[in-house]
Amino acid sequence: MELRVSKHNAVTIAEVDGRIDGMTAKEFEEKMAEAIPEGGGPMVCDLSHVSYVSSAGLRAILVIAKRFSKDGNFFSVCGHSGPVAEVLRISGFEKIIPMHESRADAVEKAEG
Amino acid sequence: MVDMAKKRQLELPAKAENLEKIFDWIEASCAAYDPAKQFMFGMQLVVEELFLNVLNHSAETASADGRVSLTFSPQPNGIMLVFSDDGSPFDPLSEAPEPDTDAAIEDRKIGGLGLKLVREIPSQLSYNRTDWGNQLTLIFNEGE
Repeated sequence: MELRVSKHNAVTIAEVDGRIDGMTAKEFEEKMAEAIPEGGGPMVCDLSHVSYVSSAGLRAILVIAKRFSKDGNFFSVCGHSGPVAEVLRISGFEKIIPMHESRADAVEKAEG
Repeated sequence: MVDMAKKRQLELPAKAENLEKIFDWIEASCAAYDPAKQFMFGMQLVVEELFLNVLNHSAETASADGRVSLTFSPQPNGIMLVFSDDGSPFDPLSEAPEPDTDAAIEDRKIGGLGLKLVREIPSQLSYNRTDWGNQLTLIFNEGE
């Protein structure tokens, strides 16, 4: 699991590569927490290159999303497809975290 | 025809570091039997959730020498995967509370999703208490 962090204007983009499972979820959560912009600001988590997410990964995503929600900052997930999208759907995450198919849409919403 | 020669078995200690071995074993089992490949993600996911559940449960009961067993069997209508552990009786199908997936983000509980995924992803699943321990039989097919 790798996390690449970049900026698109004011939006922080965290692009995940690999698997978010019971072995990597803790590292994912730590890297995501480090990537949270100081002083607030929106963040988009791009899952396009994630092939596998288990409940350990969902838990980590939820922890991060709760932090943004508590601080009143925007956080969304984009790029998920196939079985990863199915896991997010079963978990009902689309009801609590904004989800976008494309990164461009996610960034546009984050800037809005 | 179903190739029963593709039946595979794995048994190992219920230790966190063995999760990777289990992932590799499922990947190898699917690689050796083409019709199983489409179910690899679901198999790894369900088995990870069951395995981590066994680890949590054995930590609570301080039993350090538990074992788990996996059997992969091609069937005429899909793949049968049997996951067993030799721990104290626990039926993840009836004893696990259903998480509230309609709760608002502030109220959403951290956790509880693993066993929901176990219940939703396989086409069929059933629990048995055997002489050896807890046994979950999972069927993966295209039917559902």
